[in-house]
Amino acid sequence: MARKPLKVVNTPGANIARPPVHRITLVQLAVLLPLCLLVALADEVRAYSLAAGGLVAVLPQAWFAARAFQRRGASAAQAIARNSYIGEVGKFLLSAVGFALVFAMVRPINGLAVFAGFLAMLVIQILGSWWLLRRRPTG
Amino acid sequence: MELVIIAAAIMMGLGGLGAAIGVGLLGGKLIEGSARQPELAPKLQTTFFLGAGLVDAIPIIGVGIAMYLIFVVAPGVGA
Repeated sequence: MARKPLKVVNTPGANIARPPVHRITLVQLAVLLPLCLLVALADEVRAYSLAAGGLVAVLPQAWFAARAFQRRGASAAQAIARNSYIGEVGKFLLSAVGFALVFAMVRPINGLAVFAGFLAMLVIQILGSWWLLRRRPTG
Repeated sequence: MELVIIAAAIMMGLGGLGAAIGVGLLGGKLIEGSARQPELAPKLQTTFFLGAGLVDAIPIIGVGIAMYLIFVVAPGVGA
């Protein structure tokens, strides 16, 4: 059986499979939306406060994940660290702006539900990262 | 009421400082680890991702509480 010729890749680390970090975001949204719908049956204010808190956690985290895994491989370690610092600053600023917008513009708001949504998404993010670390690399 | 604003500023400032030190240390160790054992670089990158998520969680919650103090507890002072 003839083998396929290997494709030459010039970008360092381009042949290392990118870990499926986007799945964490998808799981977060898949948990958040039904949870909000469920809470909406009891209290509408709590439901949208929960959604707002969850989105304040999910969107900056997705931005950070996209930046942190833009480059791969040992030869790109410095670029990875630089991208991660930029991603971290962006995540911090996006979170601050998100919280400010939620608390300044959404009325009435349930502060406890906002933080509950934020913490729930944070727990899923930590569990998802731990799952990424434990899974066997496929690429 | 101005004390609420000062408390929020200290909360955000010290939280950001802690996160900056933590992520700086993590990034340094990532470069060091990748240089020592290049074959472990992808795993180190994922460990960095997990670590960074843990390190910045508390400061971001601090920022959230600070924003709550500014815009909900003392809205007249912040405006």
